[in-house]
Amino acid sequence: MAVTVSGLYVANIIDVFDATQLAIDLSLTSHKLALLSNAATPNFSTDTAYSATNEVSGTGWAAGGVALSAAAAGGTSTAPTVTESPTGSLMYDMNDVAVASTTLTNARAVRLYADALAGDNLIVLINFAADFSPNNGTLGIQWPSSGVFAIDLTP
Amino acid sequence: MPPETYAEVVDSNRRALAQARLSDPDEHFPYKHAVVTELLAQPGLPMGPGVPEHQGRAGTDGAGDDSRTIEDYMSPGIADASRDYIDAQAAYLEDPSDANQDAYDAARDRLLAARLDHRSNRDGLVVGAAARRAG
Repeated sequence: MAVTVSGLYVANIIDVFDATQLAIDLSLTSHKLALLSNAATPNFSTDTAYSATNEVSGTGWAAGGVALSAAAAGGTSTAPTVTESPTGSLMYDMNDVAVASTTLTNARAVRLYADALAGDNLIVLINFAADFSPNNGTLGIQWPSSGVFAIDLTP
Repeated sequence: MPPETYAEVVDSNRRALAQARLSDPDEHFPYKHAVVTELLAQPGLPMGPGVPEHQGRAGTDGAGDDSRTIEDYMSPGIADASRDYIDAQAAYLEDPSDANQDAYDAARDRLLAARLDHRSNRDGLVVGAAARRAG
């Protein structure tokens, strides 16, 4: 029982491209970031929907997560983008997350899911590789230069 | 008259989704540029916990740790580019013309450049498909 890697939720990504026509628009800011404890064991092949099981929440970071429209500094939008970077890869990126006045315990990972869709479809999980317990502080996520994730389409 | 062909349905749905997004109060229109500008006008504004010691940087996560500041998360360039990007996105959703798409793409590229400038010395996370292969 542990979070060991980051990853995209494969079943939902497949559903974007097949007859299911799952409407995941990565530029939406109604998508939410929900925290997860290390008691969870993500299954990127079978997990499809947000669940409150093993969720971490607290003051400043409600159960169900924080919307991207209010997750950057000052409660502003993270302004998510989708582009080609590097050449041949799809890159999803956003402004850094900085949610102030947060008190919670042992956040090990964050899941991005489509709150606007009926299925609360999971998109990606980011493994922090350590537990974070802000005490009336800012819970920040500084994304790397290579973005939140990139999918190499020309391997 | 309702759309009949697959292409007509796709086009109709795309326009409906765009309008629904523009009117969604949970979306990010317009960008709160004044809020960010006010924060950035306070250089060194504490923004809470840093990262665990085992990751090799100063700071611990927890109470009283002010090792991170507003500049670690945001820059004036990102704030300006975010405003322009969100404005261009709204214009494109309202009218998906070629000109508006070009402006939207250009605004996106300027935002990406601003982020890249801000993150030039930042370590990378391994996320997504690459992470799964590594794991």
